[in-house]
Amino acid sequence: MKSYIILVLTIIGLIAPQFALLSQQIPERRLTWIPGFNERNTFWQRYFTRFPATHHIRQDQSVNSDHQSNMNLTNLSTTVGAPLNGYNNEPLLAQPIGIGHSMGGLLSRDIDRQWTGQARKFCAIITVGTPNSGAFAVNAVQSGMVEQAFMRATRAVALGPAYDVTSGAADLLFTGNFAAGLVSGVTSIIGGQEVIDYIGKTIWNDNLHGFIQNVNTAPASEMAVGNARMSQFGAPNVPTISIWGNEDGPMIYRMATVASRRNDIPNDPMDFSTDTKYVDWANSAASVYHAAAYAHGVYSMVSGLWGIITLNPAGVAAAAYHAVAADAYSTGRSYIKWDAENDYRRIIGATWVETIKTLPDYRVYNFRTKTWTKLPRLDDIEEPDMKESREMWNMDSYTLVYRTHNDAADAFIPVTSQNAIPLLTASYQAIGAGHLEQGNHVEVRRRFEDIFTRQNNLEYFTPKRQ
Amino acid sequence: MKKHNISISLLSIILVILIAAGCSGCDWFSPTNPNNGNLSLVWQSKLYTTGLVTGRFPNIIYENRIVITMAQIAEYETKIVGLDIETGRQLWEWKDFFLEKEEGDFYNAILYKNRLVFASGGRHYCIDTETGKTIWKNRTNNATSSVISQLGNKYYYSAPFYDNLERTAVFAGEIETGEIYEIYRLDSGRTSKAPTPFVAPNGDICLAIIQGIKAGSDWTSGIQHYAVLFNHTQNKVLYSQKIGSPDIVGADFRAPVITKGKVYTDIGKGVVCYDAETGTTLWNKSLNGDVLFSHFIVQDDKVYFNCENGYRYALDATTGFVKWQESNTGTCSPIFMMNNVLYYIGGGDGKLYAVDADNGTVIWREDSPNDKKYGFSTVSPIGYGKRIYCCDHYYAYCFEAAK
Repeated sequence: MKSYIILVLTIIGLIAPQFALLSQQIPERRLTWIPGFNERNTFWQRYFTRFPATHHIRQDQSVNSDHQSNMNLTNLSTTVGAPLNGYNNEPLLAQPIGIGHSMGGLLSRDIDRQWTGQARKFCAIITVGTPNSGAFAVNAVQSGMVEQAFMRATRAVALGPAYDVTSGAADLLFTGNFAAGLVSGVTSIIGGQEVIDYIGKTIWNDNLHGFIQNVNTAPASEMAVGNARMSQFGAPNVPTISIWGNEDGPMIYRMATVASRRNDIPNDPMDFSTDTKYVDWANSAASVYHAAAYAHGVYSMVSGLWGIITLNPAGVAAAAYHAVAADAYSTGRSYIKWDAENDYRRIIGATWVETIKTLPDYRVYNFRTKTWTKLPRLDDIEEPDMKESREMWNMDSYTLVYRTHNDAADAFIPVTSQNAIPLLTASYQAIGAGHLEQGNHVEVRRRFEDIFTRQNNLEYFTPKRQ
Repeated sequence: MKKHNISISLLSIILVILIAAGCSGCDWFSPTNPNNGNLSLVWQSKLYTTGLVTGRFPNIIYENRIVITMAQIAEYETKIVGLDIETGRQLWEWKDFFLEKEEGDFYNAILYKNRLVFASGGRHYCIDTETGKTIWKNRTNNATSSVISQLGNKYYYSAPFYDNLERTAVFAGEIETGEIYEIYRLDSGRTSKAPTPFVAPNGDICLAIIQGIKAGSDWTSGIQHYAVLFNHTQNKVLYSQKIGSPDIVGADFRAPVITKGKVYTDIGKGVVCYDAETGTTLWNKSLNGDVLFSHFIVQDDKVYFNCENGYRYALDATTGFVKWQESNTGTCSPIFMMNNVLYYIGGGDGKLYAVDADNGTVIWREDSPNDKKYGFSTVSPIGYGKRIYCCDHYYAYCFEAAK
């Protein structure tokens, strides 16, 4: 009997601590995931379900917010924020972190601005790819920059093929029918541009213009750089970390690929999203243009030679025609490979030109030290009197210097805007994370992991499960 | 007419020849080589069964014979592999995790004899580096971060308790047996950097601990950090000195570095050096970005690190003055130094960098041969002899080093 009691007590002694351990209340963090403009709550579904499995995160109390984007930012943030279960007098380790992608980051900041103190909805914020100082693409649409770029693209890409399609001049000229060939060639060169411009204009007006003009409606229009609404967010009331995407070039084709399959990406296996389809297409297209330009160049040279040898002016005319066509294809290739990316970078504000008003003696050479000395720019002169006098006396001698800046971007929002939050606690970059891929991306997942691991900032610390 | 046909035929032949010659320069015939020719590949070893390697594990070299790194079985399933350092052939694999689906985010691991110890989320593992067999594994009641430090046959880490996550303590573990015990519990504030153990001149084992205490009730007041010296042998705190100014970024992750009687640590957005014996701050270098993930190394009387502000730095280890500062790519891997060359993976571009430690200039920076999307994984490269070892999300690589 005595041995039984000892055995029972021993078992209780062994089991009791385990029960005690189980009964301990480990805080379970709540997370509020807010997708961006024109995104549904499926955007976050990978992280929304995965992190609760590995970390002390309470999924049933977390929110993967869905919202309609046709309200202005204030109404949206009110709609998203009002039903959220915020502070709730819980320990810091259980309080919700607001995580917003793109416009969702602005909403999380606006929710933080609207509900403060005991009414607060978040104890911390993580913005992912958020246009914190605005999205320049909106400005580009509003100013007509996108339309201009589209027309330029259409002409650059379509002109070469249009010459081939519309003329037939080469054949006519080769057969010696000079009059018909000349008329056809000149018509195709002049008419080709007109046809392309007409087609481009028609596509823009009938298909793209209406779609693009959506940005003039709330809340997209409010996200224009310089819009008064963008300056209303101010410094956050809670710690805020920015995860900024840093996409590789060519951004335009990566963005196009992702945009074409954005609904598939959340269903991809984690970290399998691919954005190279149109990059490959563009490479192939550039190769075809390169070959076509080369072929026309060779035709031009050969037909010119033939014209000279046979003293047939038709050959010389054919040479001229093929030279123009070769140039068109060469321009198309350049556009596909380089200029399209340059145009796109300007549209999203990742490439921008700084205009510096400076004096001619901006830099002087010291022959004694053999060094150039940099004088202060007009903008750098702080004393008002001195600045005024220099402006007065040197009015005519100013020169304008243009300096091009290339910023990193997530293929839609430049880094400067992604990190433009006053009192930003920290910012960490996610390599290769394009704007629309950030809901399912290996590097973004790692940055979340890094942030949750930060034990010293209890607002973020979300321990792993045992 | 016949003459005309002959001319056309000749011209056509010339055309075909010229076009073919021209196409040799076309994009589709050109093999795409992402590198500039500086990377000389010795071997590459496949690390995935399906999917890319999503977890993180430091590259470790065991006895100059085996490279240990992480591989992927399936989504959320990882394994540790040992590769022959000469050929890249897989010698063993290990996947005895507690969790069936282990994400595998391990910031560091320590090596003692043939034992490799690593931990995450209260799960501690020790595996035999010769065979890839489990020596021991255990679960603790503390939320162990993934960074541990070592002295002899013991490893150390700091962690909060699962039953009271607001309280943290410093723990020690026996590498031989896996036994873990608490050695110092903080009365206030937190410590979330791994402590750095060292042997004091009198033979006592001491720990350099960085403690963070909120400077005010509001988060904007920041965290004030303290340098704490704990004498493990005598079980008492020798000093607790304020270091740096309050900062809204906490000091996390990697352990302080101790060399020549000085302790170097990153706190908030800055790097601090203090006297190990007294805790007196010797210099404090403020930055406009933190160095949490890239961390720093102290070698040849210089402190090297990559900062989130987009620059890499070398500071004078004695004065804290900037020796050189060069633009960089932000969230980088930790640095490995060999033959006066700094190697790391660039955060913004995923390239492997080789940087001259004397002046900070890039010797070369190269893309991964196979992973153009993400580039190399942002875990520290490692080297031996004249070779450098690193991974992307698909392969482990051995390259010829820059020097």
